Amino acid sequence: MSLLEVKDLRVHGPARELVHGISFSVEPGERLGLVGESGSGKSLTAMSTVGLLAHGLRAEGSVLLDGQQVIGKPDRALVPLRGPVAAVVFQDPRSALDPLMKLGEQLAHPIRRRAKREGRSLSATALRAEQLRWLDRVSIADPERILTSWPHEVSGGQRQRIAIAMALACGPRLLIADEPTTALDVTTQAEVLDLLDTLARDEGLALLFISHDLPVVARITDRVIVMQQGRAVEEGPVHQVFTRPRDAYTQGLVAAAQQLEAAVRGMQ
Amino acid sequence: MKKTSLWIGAILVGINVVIALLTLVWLPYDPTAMSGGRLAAPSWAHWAGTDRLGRDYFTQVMIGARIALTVAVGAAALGGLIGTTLGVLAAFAQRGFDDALAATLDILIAFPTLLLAMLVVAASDGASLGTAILAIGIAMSAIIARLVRILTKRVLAQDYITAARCSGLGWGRIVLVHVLPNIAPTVLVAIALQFGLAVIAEASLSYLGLGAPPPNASWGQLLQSAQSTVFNAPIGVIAPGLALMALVLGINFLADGLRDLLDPERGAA
Repeated sequence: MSLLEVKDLRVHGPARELVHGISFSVEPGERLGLVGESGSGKSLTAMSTVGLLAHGLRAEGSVLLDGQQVIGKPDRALVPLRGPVAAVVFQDPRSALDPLMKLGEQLAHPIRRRAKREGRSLSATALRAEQLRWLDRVSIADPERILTSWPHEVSGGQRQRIAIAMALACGPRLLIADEPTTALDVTTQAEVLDLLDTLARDEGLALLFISHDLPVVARITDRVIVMQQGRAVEEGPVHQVFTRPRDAYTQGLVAAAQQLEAAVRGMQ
Repeated sequence: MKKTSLWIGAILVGINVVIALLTLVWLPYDPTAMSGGRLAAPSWAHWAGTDRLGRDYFTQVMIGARIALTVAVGAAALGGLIGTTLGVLAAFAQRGFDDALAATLDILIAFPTLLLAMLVVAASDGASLGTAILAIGIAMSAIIARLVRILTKRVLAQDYITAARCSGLGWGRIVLVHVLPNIAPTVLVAIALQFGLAVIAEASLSYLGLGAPPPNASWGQLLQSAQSTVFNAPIGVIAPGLALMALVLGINFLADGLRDLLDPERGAA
């Protein structure tokens, strides 16, 4: 059974339709990239799969997350699905953490919930060990200090790592990454991508990776869907889509990326 | 400078609080007893003179502090509680309820507090401390609710809320863990500012006879009864007026200081 199966998903805004019927599936352990320009509906599509659309937006069609229908379910019915099945990492590390809560406390929340869900009791020492283990998993140096720090005291890259740790601490099987590296500088971007790559492999996670950055998507995903104006214009293995694009829009995207690369090489 | 206004505010409000608490256990004179000549000028025995019936005026001003603070604290607590609850509900509500609530709040804000107080008094057994608290509290709750609604919506739009939902946190816990702590600083400052207005509103209500009945008279009522003798004994107007001014000024200084303290970005700028 597919971990995520989306059929003819449509998202309606207050005035018009924003996503016009998109279908795809994600198998356990598979890595799917959603590519497209801003406003192409890639984030809307991803958020619909976990029932987290903003107020005023409505999804139609069918989304089976771990075999359970998401569309049309009340929020309360979806709460138990989120976390153990799917978790999200966002674009902006500044708003991904509660500014008024120490990092250790924020990280403790998903750990405690997971323990409660699995019926384990969690002592203070066990909790601390888990916190340190997760910070270690996301390669954070000096985890002891980080636990007692406030979000504004650490760098953007570290915040994004902590956000990833919080998402993974829920124990999901699908990680939805919504432009997780866009707001970071290039070096940090590469580090965070490597980290996501390693973690997904180690934890056997399926990845739904959303980005407008073709090289980034090419690096981390197996299969890719190209979206334009709320439609999927091309789908296939990442290698094939980026080397032999069929759709005119994809060809344009790839050509633009190549031009940029050539320009950068020319400068060197 | 920021710290100065906080300290001035704290001292002015502190003096009022101490006096208000003191009146519960000790008073210089019995507020209903004739303890001196009629309309006596200020003296060592009667710091603010005496009123028309020869009662010690300073004692009454002291009691006034207690009434003012009781009404303000009660109204702030009531307004804060109702306002926060309504505001959070409105932020979560579907469009229909949200719009209805927003319209109701706008009407309530446009409605003069005095008129509201008269309605509350008319609907109950007559003017008392309770009706004053209720009227001012309701008026205050509308302003707080509108603020809380916007603040809550802003917090709910943050990624950490979506992340928390996605990790399986229910709405109730999200409000307790993330929303309330994040809106608290701004709401507390707003309540502190409203607190000053509540003191003035209480004085206005009792000036019109819609506040606490005598002998536990508030400053508004003292002003009103001293009005007819203002030229013979100006202290009757000056004393409660000064007390009222000191308390309201103190509260506003304190609220300003608090805002600077709780808003690090403003403080740094």
